[in-house]
Amino acid sequence: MEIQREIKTPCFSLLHLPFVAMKHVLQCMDSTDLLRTAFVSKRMGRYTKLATARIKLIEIEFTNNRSTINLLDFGCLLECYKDKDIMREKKNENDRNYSLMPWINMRNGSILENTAKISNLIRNTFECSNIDLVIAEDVLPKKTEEILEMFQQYRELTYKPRSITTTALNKIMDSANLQHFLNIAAEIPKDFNHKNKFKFDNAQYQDATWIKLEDILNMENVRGVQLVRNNFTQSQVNTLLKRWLASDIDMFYWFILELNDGIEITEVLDELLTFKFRREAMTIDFTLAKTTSSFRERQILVICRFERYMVLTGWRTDKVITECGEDIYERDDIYDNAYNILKLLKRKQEIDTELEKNDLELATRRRLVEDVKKLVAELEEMHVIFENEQAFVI
Amino acid sequence: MSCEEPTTSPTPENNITVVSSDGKEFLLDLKLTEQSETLARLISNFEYDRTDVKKDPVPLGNITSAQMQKIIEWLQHHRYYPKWEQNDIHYSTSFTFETWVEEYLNIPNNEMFELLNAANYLNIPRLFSTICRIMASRITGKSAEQIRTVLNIKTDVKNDVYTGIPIQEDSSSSEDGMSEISLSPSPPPI
Repeated sequence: MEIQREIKTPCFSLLHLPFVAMKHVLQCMDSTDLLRTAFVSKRMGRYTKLATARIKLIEIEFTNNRSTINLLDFGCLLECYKDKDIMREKKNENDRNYSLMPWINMRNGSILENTAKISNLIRNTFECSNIDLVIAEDVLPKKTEEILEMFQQYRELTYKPRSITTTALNKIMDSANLQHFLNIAAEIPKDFNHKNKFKFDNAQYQDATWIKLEDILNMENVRGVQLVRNNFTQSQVNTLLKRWLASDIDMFYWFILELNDGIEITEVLDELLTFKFRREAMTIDFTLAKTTSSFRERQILVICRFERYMVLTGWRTDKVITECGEDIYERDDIYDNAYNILKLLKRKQEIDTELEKNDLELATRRRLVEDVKKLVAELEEMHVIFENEQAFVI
Repeated sequence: MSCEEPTTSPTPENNITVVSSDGKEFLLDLKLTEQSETLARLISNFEYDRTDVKKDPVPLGNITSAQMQKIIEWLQHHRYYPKWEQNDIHYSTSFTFETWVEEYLNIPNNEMFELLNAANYLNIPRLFSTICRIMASRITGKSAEQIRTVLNIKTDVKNDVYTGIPIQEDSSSSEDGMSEISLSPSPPPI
């Protein structure tokens, strides 16, 4: 039976309780009640902060006539308009709305000012360090610059409008760091360039026509990049693949490129010693880097054709890294065994080459054939089978 | 001074006497005091659970007789309940309580406040937690003004942001001596 929730007067003087008791009352509150209570006074906000309530992530979406602050942990949305702010509680099937006037927003504040004020209050009170920004399609370039000026600290930035100014682009690039996620849908001027364009944890450019092959070939220890629309030709894709396979340094952890019509990667793959792994509609090729440089830590190379995309990933030989930007690869035993399988395949290839020689002594030939049998047996233990001399892991 | 007995009459060997702030004496069964960590520790320290030890009345300087009566009612009801274990209370969306508890705590907010202070002082975790949950549930769905009214919080914004009208600042910190937050308030000595 749910407790009766009528207000009984006189009042319950929360702030007069010992802090332990006050903290317990605050911790018992429903999250949206706690949020609204935190904002009834500055002092209450300070106590709420001490009550160790936390919000992990704030997602702010900007449109032309409002901003929406989404508090995923608390199950509510705060909407900021020019002349009003609304808190929408999203629970069960019944949404409950509260006006935040005259709660925490400013009378004559712009949408951006109110959004900044509210989000800062939430960040300070609930010690939230992660802000994701989404700039909606209808936001004008000028406003984008204002948003970027006002919200310089963020974890993810998703930019959806079709156009962007060079000023805004430079502002985004200047603030790049390896904890940031960037996704830009806009067309980027063909002559644009910036030294930080790949210096994100994850940079996704829906328009990559401004990126040149040299930019990719010169990558060094880039975390992750996805390029969608681009002008790369078959020859350029082959060059990129060959450079990555033979590079003495780690160019990137992962790289995703949309392949234009008619472009295939089989020509390069056919020349490699690989084992293949099929997962649903995907075939993934594993191979070793064609270098022994100590500067290249990611020696296990994974090449995947996924729908229109080519996905390249480099893995360390000493440990399995389970994370990946697109979650195409999940942790699997295959990654634990990949390095060993590839080493055995390489050894088998060397022996096969030896066996092709006509001048081998019979005893040597027999020994090599036995060695091959042992290698195949070892590979079979690791679920490797051969179809038309191509190794597959099943 | 009068001496009131709870529903079950404890014998002198297995009880202690507590004295409320207004001088009223209550005879408490030692079994009941197990629910109060403060009293249980005191009984253990003074060895009041031994029959050969003289038991002096225990003064409870900041608990009134009305509050003590209410607390004894709670202790009696929960006499045979298993030991209280704190669950994860953070951000639970709804709490349900047995009918007896609802009726027991169907009291005005100011009495609830006093009872919570007493439960905190005597360290009765089940009662303490139940009151906190009920108070938390009483502000569900309230507007800012209603929350301020229920919890007696005055705004500390100098001017209303919309009307520009000066607003009385929250001066409770100076009134109640809680200018700084005390993370471990020390109760007055028993």
